[in-house]
Amino acid sequence: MSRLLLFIPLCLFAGLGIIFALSIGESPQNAANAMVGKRIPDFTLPGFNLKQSDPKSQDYTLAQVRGIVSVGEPWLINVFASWCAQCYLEHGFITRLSEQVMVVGLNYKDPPENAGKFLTELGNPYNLVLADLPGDYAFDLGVSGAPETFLISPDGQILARHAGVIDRLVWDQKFAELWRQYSEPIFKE
Amino acid sequence: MRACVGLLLWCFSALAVAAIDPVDFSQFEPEQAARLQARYHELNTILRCPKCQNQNIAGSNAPIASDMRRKVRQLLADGKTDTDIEQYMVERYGEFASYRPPVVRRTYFLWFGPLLFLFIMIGGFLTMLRLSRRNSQSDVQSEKDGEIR
Repeated sequence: MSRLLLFIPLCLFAGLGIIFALSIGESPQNAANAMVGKRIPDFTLPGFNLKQSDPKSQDYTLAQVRGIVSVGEPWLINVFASWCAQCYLEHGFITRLSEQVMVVGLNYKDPPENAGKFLTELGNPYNLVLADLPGDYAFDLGVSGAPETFLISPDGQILARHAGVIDRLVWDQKFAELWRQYSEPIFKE
Repeated sequence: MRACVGLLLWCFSALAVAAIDPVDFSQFEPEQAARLQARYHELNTILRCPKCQNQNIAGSNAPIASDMRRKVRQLLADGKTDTDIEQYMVERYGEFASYRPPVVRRTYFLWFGPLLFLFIMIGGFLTMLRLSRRNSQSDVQSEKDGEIR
């Protein structure tokens, strides 16, 4: 019996080890956000619809943006900036995504000329680009840097969020199932 | 020697003052402004920078930290309470944002875990002490037995 007691510190250590091991994986930046599950906050932001022939900057409200991009399927908000090195890395995947999913680019703390250069150089994957120069709206989304990507349901709920480069693996693990789940069927049965 | 230590201590205190960034509450009366300044600095020490592993927004150079400080200043000027401001940040950045997590059921382990762990370790240590004493006593016993034989 007394011998067994000596194993207690070892078991505690193993227990701690397991707890710590389970915590490995999600970076702390992915933990530092509480907006998933909440309604997407309202906004009025200047934006460009670069798919138009003559893109002029105009103010867009959340309702207007939803009217454009929320066509019965969840849509993405991709926080990007020309000063963000990782945004160059994920741009290719965003472009591929944009073939199937509506993506709104939220230009974060970035002078419009620089954003324009970024999109001209790399190509514009976004259905709409919104400019958040002071970063105030991004603050309301719990954004702490770029790149970050949010999945928004057709009725305006924040379904998922990823901080960091989004690639095929991240999409499959975090977004794909929710995107399927919340896509409204074209034909009601 | 004492002068050297005194000088060193004074240098450190000067550093502490330099690290505080001056913030403008001049639209308020000096008494009010001083109180807001104090609350500003206090809040900056209990709010965690979301992009840093373990720094409060007072000590972090990250852009988001300076954004949060600016927000704290604005909310203070708007008349919000300290609790309001903490809540505001936690709403957006999660419980990660505050160095003061609430004491509720799911955080009991966080708050009391280390204490519990300490007690277990002390218990274990005392048990081992008692065991070794018992062992040495039985050694003395068997020695005595050995002598009689």
